[in-house]
Amino acid sequence: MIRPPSRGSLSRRFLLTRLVGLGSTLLALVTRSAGSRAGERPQAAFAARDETTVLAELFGSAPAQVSSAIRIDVASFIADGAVVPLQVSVDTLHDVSSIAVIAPRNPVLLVAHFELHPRALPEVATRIKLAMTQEIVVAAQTSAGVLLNRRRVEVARGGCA
Amino acid sequence: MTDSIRVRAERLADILELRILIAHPMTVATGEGAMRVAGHFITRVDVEYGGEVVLVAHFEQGVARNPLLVCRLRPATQTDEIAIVWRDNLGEHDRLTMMV
Repeated sequence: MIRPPSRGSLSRRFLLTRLVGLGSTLLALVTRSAGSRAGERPQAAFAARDETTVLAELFGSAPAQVSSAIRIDVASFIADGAVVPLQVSVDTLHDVSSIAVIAPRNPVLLVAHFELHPRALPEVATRIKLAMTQEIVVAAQTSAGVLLNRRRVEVARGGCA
Repeated sequence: MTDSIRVRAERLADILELRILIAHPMTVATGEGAMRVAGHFITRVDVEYGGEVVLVAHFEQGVARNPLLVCRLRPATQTDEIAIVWRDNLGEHDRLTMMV
């Protein structure tokens, strides 16, 4: 015998679906407020004066995990800091949605921030300027959290003039 | 001034590699106070493929002059159009489209 659904079970289902809906809305709000928004220039990260603030503005406050999955290909000794070839790749099975290149001892710390569509592989190359000898920081937002790696580059002549 | 952008597109096995070279001075801000001279640099490069944006590069003065941007895409089965768009902090911009 099939009983018509009682008032109690209906309201419970109603309550549960509403709760789930509310939860996902809140989660979306939280994840959006943490870190920069897609397509928009991360102005606060470019203006930041220290590495921690740059990372927080880009990726939110969740700690980045140091990982060798981030490969930083750059010469360890550079004669002229005005043109430093740099190649970055993220070796992961997770989706990579953005990659940031930070030079903590440059006048503007954040050098470049790449937003990647699923169509783009997590590999980019460019040429940057380095003001002095320092450890380049590369961080990536993956679907499994923020990964980060560092690479020291000695610079004979600074290139930010 | 479409000749500010040069692109070399290469299809490797299952990858489409784009080497984008943009002619731009990319100068940094110098001086303090009244002596301050603003820099001139590209702030954004968009790479579009088949009508959708596949990569956005946000730049600052720390990218070297005549910026190079190499990226790798998962290619479509048939020929499709790519578009490269840059704009700088003084409002200058340029766009190049080509079939790959």
